[in-house]
Amino acid sequence: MSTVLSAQAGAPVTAKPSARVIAQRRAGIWLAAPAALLLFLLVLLPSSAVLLLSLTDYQLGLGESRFVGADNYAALVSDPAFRQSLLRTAIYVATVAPVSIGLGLIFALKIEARTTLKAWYRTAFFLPVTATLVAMATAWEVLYHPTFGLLNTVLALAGFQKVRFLADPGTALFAVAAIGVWKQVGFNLILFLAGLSTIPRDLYEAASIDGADGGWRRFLLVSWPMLGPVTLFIVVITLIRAVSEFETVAVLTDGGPVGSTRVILFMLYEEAFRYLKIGTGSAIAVMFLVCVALLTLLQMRLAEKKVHYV
Amino acid sequence: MSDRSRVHRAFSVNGARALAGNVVLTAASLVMLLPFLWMIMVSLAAQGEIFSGSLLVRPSLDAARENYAFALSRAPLVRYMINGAFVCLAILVLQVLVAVPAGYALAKLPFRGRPFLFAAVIIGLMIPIQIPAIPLYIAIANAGLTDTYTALILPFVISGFAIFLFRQFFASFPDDVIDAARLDGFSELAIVWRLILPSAWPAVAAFSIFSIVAHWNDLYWPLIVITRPEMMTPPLGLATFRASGDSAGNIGALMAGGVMTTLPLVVLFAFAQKHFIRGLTIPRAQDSSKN
Amino acid sequence: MQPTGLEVVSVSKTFGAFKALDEVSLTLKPGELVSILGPSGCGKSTLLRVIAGLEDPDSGRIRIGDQEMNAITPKNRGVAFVFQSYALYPHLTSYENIAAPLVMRELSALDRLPVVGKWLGSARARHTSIAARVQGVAELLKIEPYLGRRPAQLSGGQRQRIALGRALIREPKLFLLDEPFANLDASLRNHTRAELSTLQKRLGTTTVFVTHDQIEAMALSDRIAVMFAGKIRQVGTPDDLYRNPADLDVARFLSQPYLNTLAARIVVTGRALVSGQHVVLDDALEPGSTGVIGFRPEHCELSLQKKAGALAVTVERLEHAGAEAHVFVKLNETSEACVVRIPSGMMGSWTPGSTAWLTINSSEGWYFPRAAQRRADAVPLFSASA
Repeated sequence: MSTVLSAQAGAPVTAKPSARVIAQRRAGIWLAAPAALLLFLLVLLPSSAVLLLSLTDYQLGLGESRFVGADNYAALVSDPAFRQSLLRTAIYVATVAPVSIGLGLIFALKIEARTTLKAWYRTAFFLPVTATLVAMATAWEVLYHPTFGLLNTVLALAGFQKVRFLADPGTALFAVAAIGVWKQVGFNLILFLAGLSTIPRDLYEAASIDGADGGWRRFLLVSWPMLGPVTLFIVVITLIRAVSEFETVAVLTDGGPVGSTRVILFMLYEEAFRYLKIGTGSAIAVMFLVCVALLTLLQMRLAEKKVHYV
Repeated sequence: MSDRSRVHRAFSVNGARALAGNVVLTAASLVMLLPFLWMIMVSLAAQGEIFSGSLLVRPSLDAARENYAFALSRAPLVRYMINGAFVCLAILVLQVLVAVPAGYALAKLPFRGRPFLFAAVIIGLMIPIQIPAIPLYIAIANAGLTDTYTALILPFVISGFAIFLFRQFFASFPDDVIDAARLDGFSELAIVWRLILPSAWPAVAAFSIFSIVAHWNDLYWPLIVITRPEMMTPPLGLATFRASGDSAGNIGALMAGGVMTTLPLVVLFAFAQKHFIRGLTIPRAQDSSKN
Repeated sequence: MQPTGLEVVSVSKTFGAFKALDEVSLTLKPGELVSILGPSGCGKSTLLRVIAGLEDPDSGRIRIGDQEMNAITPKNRGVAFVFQSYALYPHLTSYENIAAPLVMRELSALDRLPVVGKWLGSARARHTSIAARVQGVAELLKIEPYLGRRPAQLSGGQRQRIALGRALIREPKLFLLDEPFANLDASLRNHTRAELSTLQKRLGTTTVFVTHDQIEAMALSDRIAVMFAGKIRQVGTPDDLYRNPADLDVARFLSQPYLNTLAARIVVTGRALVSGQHVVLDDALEPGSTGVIGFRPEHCELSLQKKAGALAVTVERLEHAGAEAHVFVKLNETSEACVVRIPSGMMGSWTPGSTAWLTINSSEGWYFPRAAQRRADAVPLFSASA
């Protein structure tokens, strides 16, 4: 005979956290505690301190400091040197970002269409991403050298006048930007290649049946729309990296000649650590943070959504 | 017959296009490699050869020996590299030690304050080192810790990026396996170190590459906290060597220093290309401004 | 080891607004194998996880043997769990997977150190004992050739055995198996099922087995508990359930692939009207009640000649199913659909579109009053007549 068991007598045990849940909660706190503590001490606390310092006239080595409100910001905004620095950063970014993204895309499309030598090209383009920029900047300096540099030798052979790439205020920023492009192209190229590899083969086949069987038309019909999300992501990350330019300038030009390569991070470094004007440096840091944080937020949103990686 | 010739023609058109593409790409990749090649060539050449301004500099064994010897004697490059290796390794080990348990807790354990910690991690992700650098420098200077390994390592032991990355990776780890481990008598700590971490090695490998490359190449922070040559990391040491009078007339020696500084990562890259590419292109935020 | 019983007493569990378990009670005698059978999402896996301690019940109690389990952590309950996904440790070899429960329980952190551990006096003996026990389990399950491999290098069937080995090695009081055969292909499933049954009888370990496959449950179980929407509807031996389903859901679940159901209405005490014909019930239900009669395709007949009490139908289509075939018909009176099982050799007798007569084998059907469709016992049919 079949039976349906009815509930038997017995005091129901009401829900309270079981030993297992309590153990897990406790473990969670212990495992997360070191990270939480360090995050607070090394990131959140000092970053808040920067906000406070930016409202003071604190100078390293001078004991006393006082609260000056937004004076540092006001002073910076009206300071021609700061405006010059912003402009120089903008020119640098406006050069590096489009060129490195454009070249990255073009070369990625060319490499994607290859069957041979793919790995070799990838390696060649990615190597600068890995290399120590300080060392490579000095190598570039030799290439740029006004008297015996390879570039000038080539220019001279082609009948042009020699250029003092890094010493001429008119060319220095672009010489530095060229190094920035050289460093960034491979990174963008790899991301574009990853994006291209996720485009289904049959889309290309469908496109070729529809008459777009190669080259430019195929690119416009299939590749470019499918690359949309990855391109957005690359744009944001390239912007972040370009506004964060520091090392080439610090090593090769020291902000010169006549401030022509004094990008924002270099100015921050000079104010805070060379002239020890902590208040001013902090104000620049805060403005820099706002800019980078916004771009990072945007990047994370994009990464979360639809970007695939190698 | 006509069919075959058509096929043949199609082939040669494609062939010509492919060849043109390869020529363009080869030229472009040579441009990418030019600074490396030039650095190596110049490091092997004699002073007079370099200054001649010819298209090719002739390497010579004597010149090479002289350049490398000069670089090694005037700048303690070996010391820089040992410093760099030690600092990178210490940072990496501490980052993993701190971030892996936190990532696991954030992904799999219900604890009070989890949303706050996660928010803090996200904020940490958005803050580049240049922001906390000023107060951290003041604190380190006040504590008398400038020119120490502690100063080089401390700001980086916590990586919001690492926690975030590990959390994402662990979140997709099957809950069944963790439950099985609990039934088998694993403590939560044992689950982290004996189960999750060994299974997460692709994420750890990718992060290791990312971290090592970032900190081996970093100039900004060492420039702030280090002034004594014996504490310098390779980039700072090289930049100092370049700026010093010692290298002014000796381009060959400077390039020799560059080669030695760049070599470890390039060799690593050659052996673990896939990991490098994955490690350096994982979505990054914190640290993004640092190399 | 002395087999242990299991008692689940009015256990409830909700996830948000979803009631996964609703006052579930179930008792297993020592050494018994009981299946929890039900469609996906009915709460059967949740019940298993509550027994293991991987979920906490909102209310109710779990007893294993004579021990109250609510306050006891999963690892101390003496239960072994085989997950549907097998949940093997991906980075460990089969040997290490099977040994893991012993290593984690019997060795201290010091003993577990890779090289040092093995040379610490007493630990060495324990390492040896573990190795011997893994060997024993491996022989039992015939998995010695795979002991050195990692899960990724094993087939589904091999993984399943390793998971079983990991459960066996602890000599648990209770086996909890969550759809352990769901990821195996059909032939392997039958084979493994037979082996598990033999093994369980030999070891005599009390076992709870969760499945959505009625054939599996029927084949393996001492008793089956059928679950729908968080409630246990019926518990009984496979034969009990097959012959006396408690309600329409249970009947349907145990009559796969098909259960015929026809609307019925009690017109006179003890008689139901189905598609214009009277069917006699063996219980005196009051007139006015409506419901359905249910019967399996093998419990009805189709004939070309009109018979007393037969229902007029039109043949719609036929399906070959090996030894048997199914004839799909439609009742002329009500347009209700029915399936009749015939030997496949007889398929030639029926052409789609032709009229035929359906006779229900009255001793094998049930009447389910509508009001009671979900709870009360079904009423067996007695006979059908004009």
